Amino acid sequence: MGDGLAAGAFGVVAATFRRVCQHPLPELSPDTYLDELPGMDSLRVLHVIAALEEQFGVQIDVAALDRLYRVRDVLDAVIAAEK
Amino acid sequence: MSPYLLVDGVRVVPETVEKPWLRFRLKLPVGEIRLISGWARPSEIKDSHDVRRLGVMLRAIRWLRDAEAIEVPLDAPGFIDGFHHFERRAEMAGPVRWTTGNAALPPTLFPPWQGEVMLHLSLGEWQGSGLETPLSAAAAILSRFESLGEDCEFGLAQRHYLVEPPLSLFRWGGVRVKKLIEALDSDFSSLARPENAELVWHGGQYFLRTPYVTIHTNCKVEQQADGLAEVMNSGLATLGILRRKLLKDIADAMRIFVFKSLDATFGEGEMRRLHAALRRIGPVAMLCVRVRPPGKPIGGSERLGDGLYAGYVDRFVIPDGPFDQWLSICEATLALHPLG
Repeated sequence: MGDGLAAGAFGVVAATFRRVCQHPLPELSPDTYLDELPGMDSLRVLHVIAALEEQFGVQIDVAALDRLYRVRDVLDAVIAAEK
Repeated sequence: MSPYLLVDGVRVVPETVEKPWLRFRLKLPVGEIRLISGWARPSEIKDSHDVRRLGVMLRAIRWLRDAEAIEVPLDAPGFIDGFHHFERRAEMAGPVRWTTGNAALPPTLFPPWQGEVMLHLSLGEWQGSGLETPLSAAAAILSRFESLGEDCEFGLAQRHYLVEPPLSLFRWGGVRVKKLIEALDSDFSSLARPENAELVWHGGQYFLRTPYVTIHTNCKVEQQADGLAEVMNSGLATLGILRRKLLKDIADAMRIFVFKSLDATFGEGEMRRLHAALRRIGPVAMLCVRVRPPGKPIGGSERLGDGLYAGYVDRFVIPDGPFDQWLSICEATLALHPLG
């Protein structure tokens, strides 16, 4: 996936976090840790993943669920699923 | 940043600081007390694989009024918002809890007092965190297992020994054995179907209830029809992911699955049926735990067949433990298991 496409995917991932969290969020970057986001917990991360799967029409490898610490990890999981 | 309290949104600094104690003067009743501090991730400042956000290490909470004193147990289950699980390390006296830098003291543990009181907090010096050290022997044992239900007792036992496995469908819940077998026989194919699910408003939030498991939806605002449909779709999609994860975990057979039953009639026949249902999906081992029938050892495990084990407790202890019998059963099971 090229940089432009990755940047586009990041925009979608960030927007999905904002929609699912239902809390005002700080500016997100790929290095933002998920546990710094207000109201975030492991189940809500799954809600984000579920929404991303629907938007991108993919199924994320569930093995990646054990390693989701930052926004970057979610982005990488989406990108890997798209390949 | 020096730690301080936010009491119902108002900043309160310690009246005195005398290491390790911070002493705050408060007026009860209050609705919320948050402990605010700086924080860091060990992985970013030293050679550590602990990526958790750590604020301060809380070692004791003490309420005082005149000659009265109340000591708050740090291993109480109410420490959720802004707290990590409690840690008990040999070199420390008693359990400790790391905050995330912004933690709410459990209101259920506030004293029933009115008027001026003192709140004393003992904060530990940096001594590392539970995740920096190799897993304890107990944690290494319990991390080899994954709960299938029928409730959250094994999940609590794992947490007690500082094991935080990845989220799984049945870590915090589960179903009776007949339903579980039925679900396994169909690869949980009906789990995420809308016709089998309903949204239930309870305690100020929606839960998604299915015949096999009930999950939080994280929606805390009552919804109209469109909103309900969205919450339902999101919940079902989340269940679908948890279903895929569970089926993969069974197929990979990396952990031994644990099923506990409160039913005194849960016997060898059902254990075998449950194990066969799992084995249809993957070459996984299974530990079934029940209250000890006559003649069986408390805290022991016995092999019933290839990859099938039965363990016995004298009583179930949800939610507060002690969980030592769980540890003993798991240890005995690993000793019996060919790959253990």
